[in-house]
Amino acid sequence: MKKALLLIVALMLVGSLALAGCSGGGNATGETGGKDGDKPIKLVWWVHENPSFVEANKKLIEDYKKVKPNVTIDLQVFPYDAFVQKIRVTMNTKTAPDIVQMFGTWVREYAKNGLLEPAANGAELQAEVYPAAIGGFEYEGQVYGVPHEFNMENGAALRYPKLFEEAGIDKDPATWEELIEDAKKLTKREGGKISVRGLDITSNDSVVFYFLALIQQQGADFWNQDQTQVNFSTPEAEKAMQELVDLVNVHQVTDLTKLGTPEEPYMVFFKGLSAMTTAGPWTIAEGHNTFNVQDFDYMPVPSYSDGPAVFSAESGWGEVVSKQSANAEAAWEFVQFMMKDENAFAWNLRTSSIPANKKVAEDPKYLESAPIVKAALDVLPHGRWIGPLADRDYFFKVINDTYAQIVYGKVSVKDGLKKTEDDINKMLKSKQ
Amino acid sequence: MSKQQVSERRFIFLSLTPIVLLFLVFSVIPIGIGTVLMLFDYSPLSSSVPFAGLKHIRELLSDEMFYKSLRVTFTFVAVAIPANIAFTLLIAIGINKIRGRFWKNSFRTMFFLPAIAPLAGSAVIWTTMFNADSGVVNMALGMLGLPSVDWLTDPSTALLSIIIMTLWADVGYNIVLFMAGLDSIPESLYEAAELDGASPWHVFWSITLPMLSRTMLFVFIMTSISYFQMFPQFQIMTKGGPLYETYVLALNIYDQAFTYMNMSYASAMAFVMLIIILVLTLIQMRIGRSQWEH
Amino acid sequence: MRTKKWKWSYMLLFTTLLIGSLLMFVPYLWMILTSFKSNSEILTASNHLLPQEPTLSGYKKVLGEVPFFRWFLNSLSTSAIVTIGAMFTSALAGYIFAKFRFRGKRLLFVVILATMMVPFQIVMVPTYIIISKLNLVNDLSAIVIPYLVSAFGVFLAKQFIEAIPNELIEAARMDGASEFRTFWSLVLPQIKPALSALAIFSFMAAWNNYLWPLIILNEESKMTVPLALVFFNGQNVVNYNVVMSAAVLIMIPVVIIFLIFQKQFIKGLTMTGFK
Repeated sequence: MKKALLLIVALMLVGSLALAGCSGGGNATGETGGKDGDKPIKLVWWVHENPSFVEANKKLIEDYKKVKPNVTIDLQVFPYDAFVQKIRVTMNTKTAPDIVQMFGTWVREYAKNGLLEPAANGAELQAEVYPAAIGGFEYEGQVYGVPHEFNMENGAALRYPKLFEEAGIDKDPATWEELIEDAKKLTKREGGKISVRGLDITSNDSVVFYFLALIQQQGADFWNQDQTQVNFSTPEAEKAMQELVDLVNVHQVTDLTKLGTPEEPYMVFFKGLSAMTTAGPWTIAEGHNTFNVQDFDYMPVPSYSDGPAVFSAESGWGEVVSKQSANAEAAWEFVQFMMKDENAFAWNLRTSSIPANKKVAEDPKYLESAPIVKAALDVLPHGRWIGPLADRDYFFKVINDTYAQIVYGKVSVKDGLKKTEDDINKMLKSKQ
Repeated sequence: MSKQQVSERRFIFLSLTPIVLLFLVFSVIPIGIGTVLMLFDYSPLSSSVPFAGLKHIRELLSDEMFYKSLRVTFTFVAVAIPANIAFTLLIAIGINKIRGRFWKNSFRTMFFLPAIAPLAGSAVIWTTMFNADSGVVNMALGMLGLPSVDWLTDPSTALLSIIIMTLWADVGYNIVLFMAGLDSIPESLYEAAELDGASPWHVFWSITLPMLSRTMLFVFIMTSISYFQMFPQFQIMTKGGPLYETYVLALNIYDQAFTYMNMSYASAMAFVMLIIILVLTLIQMRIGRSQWEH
Repeated sequence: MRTKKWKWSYMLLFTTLLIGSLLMFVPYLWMILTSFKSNSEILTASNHLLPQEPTLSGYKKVLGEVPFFRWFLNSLSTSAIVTIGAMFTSALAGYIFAKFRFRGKRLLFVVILATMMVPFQIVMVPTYIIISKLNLVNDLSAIVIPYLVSAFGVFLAKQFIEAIPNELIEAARMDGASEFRTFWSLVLPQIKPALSALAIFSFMAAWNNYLWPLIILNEESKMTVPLALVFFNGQNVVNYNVVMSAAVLIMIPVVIIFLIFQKQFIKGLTMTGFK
């Protein structure tokens, strides 16, 4: 009796494994390679978790199906952390996806190791897209991918006009000092803790971007001549870091209590717990779609000095094609489809990101459809490419860690910056 | 006889070969590679594996983050293990004194239930519980009139929060083991002690504890080995932060290997972990053996 | 007078244990309550224990939009195969080590035992490299094959089989039974308690395994339950009520199985501690 039971169970399990193996297995990177046309082609497309992006991507897939019905695109979505790792680990294996919606600053490393299929019409693409945006996708004269957006986490902030009214502020801050003054008025406290943040710049991206922007707005730079090493030991760098640290410790308009949680500052904003939050324009779509908040707008952040609000921008999210793909040609066709003006327009609109495509960005109709991103579009001309960061995540992590340590009083600004400089330069050297 | 031997040999060969092969490929060889990988420059993105000598070891010894991880890991272990053993022993003794099969078993089940859930799942649940704004822990504090605590984001409470969660998820095992150990202590010993008029405290120290020494040793060793390698809750609840206060060695190794792709460096760190665990286990066995001989 | 004192301390003990065990239950209670909350409740940072407008939207999302049953199936099939495999190989190897002699037996056994001491962190990178060379990355077999043999199982089996009197085995051989038949019909039934302990241990370890599947599985549809829950959590960071719904659905079968097989669980666990 027991034996029979065991046998049955074993059969069930073999059956289920076979089932699991069948439908999931054979991680197809395109079954039949070769010419498209009538042959069914399957492309695997990896993207990261951002609800608005995912929606926009799905729409693109739908539209493409109408144009090329024989191509099936399998969209796979990963949370950001897992995404970074999975790509790193898989791009060199046979199980690599065909297309990856990769972050521009990562592309160089993969191109360098021969893991990406370059574009056939590189020069054309370079003409269509802003240099600061496509910069990261270029390597040794070849173009390895196409950006859809600028990663501009600078120059503008989410803001609740109502809170401004209630605090008696009737105009946007025009200088950095006014910004801080306003932030102090907007900060609310309850029982010794901040209940509404006046100005929140504590996101992973904001800390780094504003640190770099503040340096640049003082007229200095953080790179050496040939952009192989960074220098954070300048008085401008110290001032910049101090300014950011003061927001927490001196002006007390924000705190670090959400650091390390999955709740990012823009989420805190949309929960109504901040008055101003620096964030990229893509968060606008999140506010509208995921959080259902409508009564906010996007205001420009004044420059730190009298000069223009120069800042660093990265190549944003774009598509690359894997060299391992059995259908590289078909994959690139899809990428080109995404680049078409009307598709790019729709994608940028849906994700409220800043178009990398020049024609779309300069199209007055774009501003009409998305007036809220005006602040970001306005500062576009002041953007400079951030530079070859090699390991982008490490670069950002080190600066963020130092920021937290300085705020908590574990290290002085000077020492913290020196260590950051050393660590980053060591990383840059190792990836040269 | 020879025919018997032949069939025996064949049996051994046929049965053991696939098994040994699996052990070889998935246990022995990886251990071998794992211990020497730190001497090479391995990267999944390139196909060459140049020899690197002691480069990674030197790097390791001058890495502040490595020492931080060591400190965090040892702190975790130094707090969580004694806490675990103290709690589980006391609870086991307590449950053992309960009369009635039903209540005894029910208590044991209630305390054991969290242990069957995947640690990763419990970590997810506890993260929401520790949420500073809407989590149940702060809600409870609020009801008692106490201020809310940023459990997972305050550098001074993060590790404590994870320890609390770990204890909740883990005590079940040791409680069951201790209860079984207590069961095996003959009633006659307790009766004799009672006749002699011994106090409960005396009974505990001179009868219960010594009789449990073998179980105690086992529990100690298993818990130590497990706690040194603990991973899911650290990655899921705090990602090693804030300010790396929860960045245990296991998490550091994982990050180095699979996030930063420094697999050789990760192997160097893993090697250190191996040494620590081996040494610790040997020490515990030594102590245990000598105590037991009493 | 003496009995009164006794009763008082017993009451205290009982109450303490009762409170303690109820406290152990709080996270589950929280999980269940939160699973019935609505998205908007979570998003507006309201602070209530009980759901203000109980809803099944979380459950609908889990059962409708994600490959929930697939995750279950993945976990179930892989865990079951690992369990059966480990039981079989451990018993077989344990039998050979216990009752046979051959050159190098001692050394082989020590080597196998030694692998138990090694932390997973040492083997995870090399095993990953081996798996990727075998082209099995992101394949469910990658979380099965390495676990088909268990050093601990071999150890446990050997201990128990050693206790079987040699005469029994000799007798079977005299009767003309083949080696394998002796193993299957004589030895296995004798070590049933050890086998069931090993089965429970293997199954739970396989089911709850997080780190290795995390490293090796990429696709959502291939994930096992613990990994999928964390993944799902990453996708629903904001509306974690949905995550709690998933957690509840995951916990229910686990709890039910546990409650049914409680005795075996506990017995098995104690057994692993005593040899």
